[in-house]
Parts: sequence; C-alpha cells; structure tokens
Amino acid sequence: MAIMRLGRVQLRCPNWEKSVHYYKNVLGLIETARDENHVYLKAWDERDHHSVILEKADSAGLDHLAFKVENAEDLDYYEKKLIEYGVQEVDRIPAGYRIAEGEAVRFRVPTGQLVELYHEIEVVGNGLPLVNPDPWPDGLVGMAPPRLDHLLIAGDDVEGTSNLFMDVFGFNMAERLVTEEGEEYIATWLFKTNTPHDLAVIKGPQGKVHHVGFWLDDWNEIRKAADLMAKNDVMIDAGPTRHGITRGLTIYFFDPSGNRNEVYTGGYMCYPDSPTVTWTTADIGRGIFYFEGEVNERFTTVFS
Amino acid sequence: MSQYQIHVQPDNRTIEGKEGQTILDIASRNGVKIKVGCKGGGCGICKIKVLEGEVERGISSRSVLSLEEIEQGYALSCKAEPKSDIVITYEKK
Repeated sequence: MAIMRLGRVQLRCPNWEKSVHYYKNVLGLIETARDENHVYLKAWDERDHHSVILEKADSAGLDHLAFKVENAEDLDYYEKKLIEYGVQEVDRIPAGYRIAEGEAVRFRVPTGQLVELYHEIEVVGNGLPLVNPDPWPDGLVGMAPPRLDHLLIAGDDVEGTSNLFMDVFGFNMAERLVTEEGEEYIATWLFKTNTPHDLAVIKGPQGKVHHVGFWLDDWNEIRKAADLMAKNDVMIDAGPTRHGITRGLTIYFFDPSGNRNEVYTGGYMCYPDSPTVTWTTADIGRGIFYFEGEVNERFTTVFS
Repeated sequence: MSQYQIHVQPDNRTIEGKEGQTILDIASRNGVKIKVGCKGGGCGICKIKVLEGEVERGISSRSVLSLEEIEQGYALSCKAEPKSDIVITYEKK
C-alpha cells in the first residue's frame, strides 16, 4: 500500500503547435492519444499509456501532477488519510475524465499545486518483449528519455508541502537547503522510490512549477541532448553541468511555451534509512551548479 | 526584407533589426541588455513597453502579459517583432 512513482504531469502550452512538435520530435516522447485540447505522451520505457499531458491553454504552467499508487484500495485509504491530516480540497476525478485513466483522488498541497493519486491506467508497454528483449526499441527520436523522473514545484510553505508528503505518504527527505541559521527550508528533495528526488519543493511563487525532469541514462546522453538543443534552437537555461545537491548531471532548458524542462542522470541510491543531507544558503552556488559555483539569476527567478 | 529602426529607452540608442527577428534578439545582438528568461513567452522577464510604432506580439502566456498590459503597450521582447520603426523602453536593473 503506497505511492509507487511520479506517474504524470499535465503542462499548459500557449504556443501549442510548436510545443507539441518539440515534445514529440526534440525531447522525443511518444504520442499515445489526443483530443481537441490535449496531447497524451509517454517516454519510451514507460509501460503506462501516458506520463505527460500537454494542454492547449492561455498561460504556461502546471495543471497538475499525479502519483501512481500500488492498489486500487489505496485511493480510499489515502483519501481518508488526507482528510484526517486536514487537507482542505480533497476531491474525486471520475474514471474516463481523461483518456485511458481510471478514477483519481485530487487534493491541493500548501504550495498551491493540484496533486492526484491514481491506480488504473491503460497499459501499452514499452515496445519490447518481456522475453529476451533488446535494450531499446527501434524508431526513437530526439533526446528520447526512457522516463519522467521528477519535478520541482514552488510556493511559500515549503515545509507544509514537504511534511504532507512525508507524513501522509511516507516520503523521505534526501536533501534540504536551509537558511544560514538552519531554521527555515528554502528547498527540499523528497523521494519515495530509490532516487534522491521524485518531488522537490522550493520557496518561490505560489502554485508554480520550476521544472519537469526527464531521465537520461548517462553523461553521453546528456551531451547528445545538448547537441539536439543547439540544433533545434532550444533555449538552454544552464548546463550541461553537475549538481552538488543529488550529485546529478543536468541540463535545464525551456519548451516553446516557456515551461522549464531538465534532462538528468546520475545521482545516488536512497533508502528509507538514508540520512538527510543539508546544504546552507552560504554554499548554494556549489549545491545547485557544482562546476560553476554560482547560480544564474534566471534559474532562481523564472517559473511557469 | 524590411529593416526597422528601434529607438531604445532609457539607453537612448537607436538599433536596427530585420523583419522576422524578435526585439530581444535584435537587442542582444546590439548589446542592449534586456533580461533574457525562457524565450518562450512564458515567464515575462523580458517585458518591454512599446511607446511608438507597431509590433507583432506573437504567442505568450496570458498570466505574464495580460490583455490590459497589451492595451497599455507592453510586449514580451522574446516574442514581439517590429512591424515598423518603433520606440521601446525597458526596466534596467
């Protein structure tokens, strides 16, 4: 009985045609369905129907993020637990509200984002057989991340959102960035899987998203992703570089609607008994961009 | 292809750009330091005010450039292209 993984993000895209083209051909996700105002996409190694939904909208940003739970009964269990915890807006999203999805529980976290829990979703597979498979399927294009990895959400009450995920869902804190006095969280890196973050939370504009991160397998893939960005005139925010925090290797860049994406690899294994690593604002430069030792202004001020 | 003159305040400089180039690209090439954000019309960091002349604003997020602001002459320089000689101003930091 638990959250298994970050299963989905829904991103709003004012620059619609270019954004759809970018997510399919430059980032390299696979389209699995569409309706008038949405395109459903999956990364190639994911088996579920979709992990990214693009929404035609007036403004950029995050519509919601969603975690997949292990059992159908988890929805009732966590719905009750959220209400008992004092979460105000707990709702049900009916099955079939979106393509290929079953019922979901929806709630709002203290930093303002809508979060859903779901179990049922159509399974489409990863294009490889379950017996004697090759390492990857034919026909991949662009950066072709195998999976959605994590996202960083912003808001005022970093501690409130972090505590909710730890108290209600059993997330653990891999790392945290605190003020000099160590009294207030500037940011937290939370995990439920074995990676240093499935979800990160940072002090910033309420309800906004800083970036959505996609996994790549190694540093060479990151370099190739940078080539593809340059080739396709993608606006790079920072990188390729390394994070002190999570030790990950990274590039930050923007989709054609101004939502920040990341390709990420590396990091380390996390377990429930792993201690929390603390960074102080005095060393924020190395923490965020280890090589440069300083953070560009855009990285800390641009959210969507 | 048309060439347009862009008079920039508060720098008090006139720079030149071609049709089809964004105001931000023209500014960057000429050393005018308008802040660069997402270059996707999503963050509003590169907002300018068009004081005179015509621009094509392109597609941007309503949440960072409202209809009211458009009426007042504001534009996102990463998306806006000049359609005549123009006069712009931006916030220097």
